[in-house]
Amino acid sequence: MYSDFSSKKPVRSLLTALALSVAFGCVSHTALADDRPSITIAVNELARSLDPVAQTGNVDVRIYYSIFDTLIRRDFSHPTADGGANLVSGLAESWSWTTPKTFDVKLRKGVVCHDGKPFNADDVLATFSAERLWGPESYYPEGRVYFGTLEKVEKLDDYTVRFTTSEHDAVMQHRLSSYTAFVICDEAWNAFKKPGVDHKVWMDEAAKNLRWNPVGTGPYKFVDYQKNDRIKLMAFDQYYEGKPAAAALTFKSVPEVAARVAGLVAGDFDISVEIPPDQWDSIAKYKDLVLKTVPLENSHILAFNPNDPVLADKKLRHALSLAIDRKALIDALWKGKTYTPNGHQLPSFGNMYIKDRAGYAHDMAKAKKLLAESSYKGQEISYRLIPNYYLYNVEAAQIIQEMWRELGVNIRIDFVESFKEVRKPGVQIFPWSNTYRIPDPTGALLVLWGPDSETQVGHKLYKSSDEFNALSKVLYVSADETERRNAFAKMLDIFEDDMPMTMLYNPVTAYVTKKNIRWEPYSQYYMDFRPSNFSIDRK
Amino acid sequence: MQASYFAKKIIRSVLTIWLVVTFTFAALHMSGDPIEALVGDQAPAAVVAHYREKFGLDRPLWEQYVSYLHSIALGDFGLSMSDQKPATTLIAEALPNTLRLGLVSFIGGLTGGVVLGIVAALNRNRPVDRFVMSFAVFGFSMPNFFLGILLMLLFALHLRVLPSAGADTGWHLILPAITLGTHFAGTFARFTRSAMLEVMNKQYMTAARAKGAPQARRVFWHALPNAAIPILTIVGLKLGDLVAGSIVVESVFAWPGIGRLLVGAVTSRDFALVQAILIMVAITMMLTNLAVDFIYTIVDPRMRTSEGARA
Repeated sequence: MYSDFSSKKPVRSLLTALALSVAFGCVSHTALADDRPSITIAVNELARSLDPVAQTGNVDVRIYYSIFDTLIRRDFSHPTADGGANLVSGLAESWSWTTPKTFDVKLRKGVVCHDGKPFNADDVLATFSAERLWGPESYYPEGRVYFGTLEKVEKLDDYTVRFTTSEHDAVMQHRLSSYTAFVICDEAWNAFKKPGVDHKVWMDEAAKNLRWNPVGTGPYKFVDYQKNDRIKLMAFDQYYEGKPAAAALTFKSVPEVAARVAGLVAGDFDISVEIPPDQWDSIAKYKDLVLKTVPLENSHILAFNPNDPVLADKKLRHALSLAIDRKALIDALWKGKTYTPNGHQLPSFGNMYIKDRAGYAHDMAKAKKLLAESSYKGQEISYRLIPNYYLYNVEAAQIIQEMWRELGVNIRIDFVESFKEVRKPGVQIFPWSNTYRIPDPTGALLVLWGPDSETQVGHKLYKSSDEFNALSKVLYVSADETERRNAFAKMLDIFEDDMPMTMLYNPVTAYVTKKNIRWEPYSQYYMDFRPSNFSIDRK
Repeated sequence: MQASYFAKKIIRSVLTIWLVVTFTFAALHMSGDPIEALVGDQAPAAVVAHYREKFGLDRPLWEQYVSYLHSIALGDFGLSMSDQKPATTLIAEALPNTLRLGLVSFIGGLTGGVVLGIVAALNRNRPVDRFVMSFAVFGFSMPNFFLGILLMLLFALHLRVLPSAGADTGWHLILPAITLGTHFAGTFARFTRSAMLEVMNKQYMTAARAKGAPQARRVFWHALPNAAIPILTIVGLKLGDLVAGSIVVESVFAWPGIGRLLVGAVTSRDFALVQAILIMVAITMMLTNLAVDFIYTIVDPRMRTSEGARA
């Protein structure tokens, strides 16, 4: 191992510490007691900011998940018996619907914000205010996507908050555990409030100042940001779950995969993220490293444009879907480490998951029969994509092109620069990713393909039937689980028959850790360094 | 050299910068959508519209262009879309790292390259010459990213003697500086050899030898100053190339300098930042060329006369 100028050089560090302690004549007892190691995580890209509403990308959430908490937390490591998302207490101690439209949350006592102020209902009010998150003129338009059903948020006492919705919201507890629901501390945010100043003006000032100086309640607090270099967080020992395992977390920006792997082997990093499958075999050679893969709650799909004169024929769309050998794709691209969901759903939907659905099948004989019955006359069909926007999207396109050639369909792959270009007139087939941000159809199928979705309203790439639209209403407002489940099953039938898209697979994300790091990845991009999911074996 | 000569150069440089700004503006606006890069591919139209309005991207293109030209004329290069900080602040934060890497590799490459070029010229067609020229060809033809990864695999992965990525300590500088410096050294060695061989056949070199001047004096006093013009020209070009070369090396070694800043800004279509960096690069090239022109006149008095006569 090279001798480093940094703190990793034990002898020099020890001598420096000794000299400093002699020079100052005293040594902090806390510092001496804190012999926890610091951890370096090599990431492909740093968070674009630590604003938990403005930035919800994979590169962002994995970092600020350690800074902020949600009221309700999803326990990814311990799903329910049927594989569903298990919700546990976060900053909320308990929660319940007190009427069909009022959702009361009892807050945890004794929680402290990173600025030393106690956490209470005022922090929740600041986070979920109409002006900030969900009102028609909210500062963050993103918040309306998740909390558009809210009508009022009020404080019942210092540790009880009531959320009132316009209609019963069956997944309110999931919303409070998901994106844009990270709780900020009110003093830091409201410090920018000025009487008579429009909320968008002062919130803009607050957001600008706090994007690199966030104040939350999470296990680590922000210390330092150097663009394109690092984000450093320090253990927040007053965290309600207990002392975090590492004294500090440094997220280091290392865009090259080879450098992320080499740095881990050389001992510069403790965890490296986004290790693609072509590196997995080489990792196995190192006995002190552990590869951890997890299929994401995100599906790579192929969207068909049913308004296109050629693809308007439903039989052709079904034939194309049936001709895709998804297992071959998964084996070739993902080393067999993932799966194709059986419909636009995941096991994490819990009671809403329709386990016995067949989903999108592979049957070349049936595909050929349907193609022969269709109006397809050998026209060239465009498959538009942004190269490498999704991992292996080019390779997948080339494999699928060959599968469709075998079917008898002529495909031309067109590379473009942006999704605006992808969806321009003439669009026929394009790859897209569908994220299941809330483990429920209302957080996935309806957001992306429902009657109010951008796909239908803005891009007009799908027009659902009246029956589908009526069933979607049931999903949003019904409190009866059986009724919701039946409605969802019927919706999936209609959706798969309409065939505006076909499912490919859920991509896999892979992490490599040192063997002494006890940490498990989740099926979303959150990296959880809370004591319940992270410890370091010091032997 | 007359003032009008420099005035002409400056006017030409300003015109070049305007062209850089205009082409960059057009290319970035035609090639992608910054809001898509900011909010992702699943964002609803309301969110996209909000950010378009916030960053003034909902205005007609010509209006955005005129407004941008007006701002930069006033010294305001705009706010980075992703960082919400002035573009000039971000450049000022990254520049010291690029200068550190650039200067170490450039000075190392220049010194090594010139020495190797002289050694090769003095040993023309001998094994030493062939060895040096093989190194030179290797140096300037080996892609930076490939050499960088090879060095990383050898020194970080197998030998575990040097760190692979980052800019935290002096040790972190070694691999990226060797990668970038090898390219410079190869180029300078080749040009130095050619320039030296050309002057060593001149009559004044024969006269110096006939007068009994020792070899070191003949090389450093008589040959090198006369071979300096082509070397200076390539030094000027390569100095301007420093940022371009560092883009790849900084990305491979996660070195947080201007090169990486530019790559990130282009990927996210961060207009203000890309334009500010390219203007900075253009100004650097311009100043380097002016400086080289000026040094020519010091090194070779004939240049002074000819430029003066032309002006």
